[in-house]
Amino acid sequence: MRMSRLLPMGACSLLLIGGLAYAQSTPANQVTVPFSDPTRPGTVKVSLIRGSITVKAGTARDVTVTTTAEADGRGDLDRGPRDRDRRDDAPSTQGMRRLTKPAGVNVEEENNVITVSSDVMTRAEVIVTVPAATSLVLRAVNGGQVLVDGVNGSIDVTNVNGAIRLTNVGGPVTAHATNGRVTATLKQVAAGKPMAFTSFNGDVDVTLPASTKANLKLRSDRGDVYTDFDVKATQPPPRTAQQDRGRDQRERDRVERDRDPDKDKDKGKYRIEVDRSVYGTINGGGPDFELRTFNGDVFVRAAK
Amino acid sequence: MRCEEVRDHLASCVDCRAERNELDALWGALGDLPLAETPSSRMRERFSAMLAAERASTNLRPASRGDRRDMWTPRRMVREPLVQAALAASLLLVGVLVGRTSLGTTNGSSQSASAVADITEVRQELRDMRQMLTLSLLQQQSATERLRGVSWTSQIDQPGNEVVSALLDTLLHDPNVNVRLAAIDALRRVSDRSDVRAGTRRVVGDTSAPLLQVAAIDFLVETRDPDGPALLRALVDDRRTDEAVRGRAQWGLERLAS
Repeated sequence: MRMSRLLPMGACSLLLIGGLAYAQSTPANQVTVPFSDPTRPGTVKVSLIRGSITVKAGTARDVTVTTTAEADGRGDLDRGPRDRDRRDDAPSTQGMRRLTKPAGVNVEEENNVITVSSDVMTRAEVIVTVPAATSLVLRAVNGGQVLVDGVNGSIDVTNVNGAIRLTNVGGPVTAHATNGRVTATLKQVAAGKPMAFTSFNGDVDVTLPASTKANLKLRSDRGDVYTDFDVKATQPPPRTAQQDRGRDQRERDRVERDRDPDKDKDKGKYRIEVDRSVYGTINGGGPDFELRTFNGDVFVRAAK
Repeated sequence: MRCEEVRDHLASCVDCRAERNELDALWGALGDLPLAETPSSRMRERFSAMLAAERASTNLRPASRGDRRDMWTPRRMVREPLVQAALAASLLLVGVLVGRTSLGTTNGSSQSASAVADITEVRQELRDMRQMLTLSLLQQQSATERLRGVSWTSQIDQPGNEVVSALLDTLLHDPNVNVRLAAIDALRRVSDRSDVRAGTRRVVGDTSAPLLQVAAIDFLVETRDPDGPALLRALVDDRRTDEAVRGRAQWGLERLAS
């Protein structure tokens, strides 16, 4: 506090007011951001190091960003000082300056692209409401799920330590979670657009309209692949194969369909056992859809 | 050449049908290429100014070869709306030519060699155009379009150097893991190339994307890469490597040893 004594009185009181405003914790902030050209579908990009992202389709032409940001900067396990602020017996912070950075979630618009980002120190829960046709680019690293509901634009999601859950979406999707489950329900499929749903440690569970035309590439290294689509097995694409792993491997690659009617009748599913990738077409084939996980199961469901 | 004739022929000839489907796909791809933004008046002014300046300078010196090459790389070209239109127009011509020549060959066996040459030429043009479109897709902002670019490469019979290096670039630098994953898969059919092998070896150590590491390990094992054992050994010994990736590397080592 030696510094503040050296400061003129005016500056001191300003700091005090600032400090008081700050001490009132971090309420949910809401900003409404218009696209510069609302006649064209825009893009929303959200990148968070720590926190969760929720995107919902709304009826407005603008984008609403609601955030709860906590600038604790000490990680989830050491939240002591922040919690203390909220308790009644918390030590007073009156007359003191806060030296940590203000809670920072930035929202910017440029050329029909709205970018929401947070600094490394901030843990933020971000809820965004967008027009349904908006394209999304979502990146999360720690501490939260990524949820998307009702959006029809193209969706590009990556989450490192958390799940990805897409419901009722209509655009082409590419989703990758390193340590988390990927769940997606598509109400429609963009014609001719390839998609990819992948995880390293987690299940990949995708529900498609029953009439979806696609070339599927399905793989789980340590789990199984399940579907209730009528998958027509196809040959893997040609490659410069090594002679010694030719036929033997391909035999093992072949889809084994276990159509045991008694065992799986209630589920209406049959089981595909994989050693490696399963290639197949549904409804006559179409763009490539890749579903892959290392530790987990892969589900391709036909919407009822 | 009447409509029904073409239709009848298409119904009976597998080759032509495949050709037509490919053309359809190309048309679709052309239509989906994002349009250039409508120029603002300021942009127009700037352009006029640039044009005036350029005119003044070209009066003094002819454009150097380097300049011209810079302006007309295939990747840039396909982004120009005018070039896109030209591509579309030439595609139509190709379509008509294909239709005609393939109809011609089935009509009689006494066709001259020139018809065959025509077809070859047309096929070559198609292939070049497909390559160009693929390259343009691989440069797109949207991950879906880049994914589409990667899956398009599988339709090119013998991908040229430019396509292979674009795929390698995607494998090493694309921000989207799924696009990179598709790229390594697409590169499996040109795994005999040394640059492709070198690129994959670099991916093996990329701890930011364990799923990709696993795909790269598989690639090493599949191609029996001579450097494979050493790289996999290093992965197994590196404590920073993901547990499951180390397990896969161990598996790879055993496979390569057998």
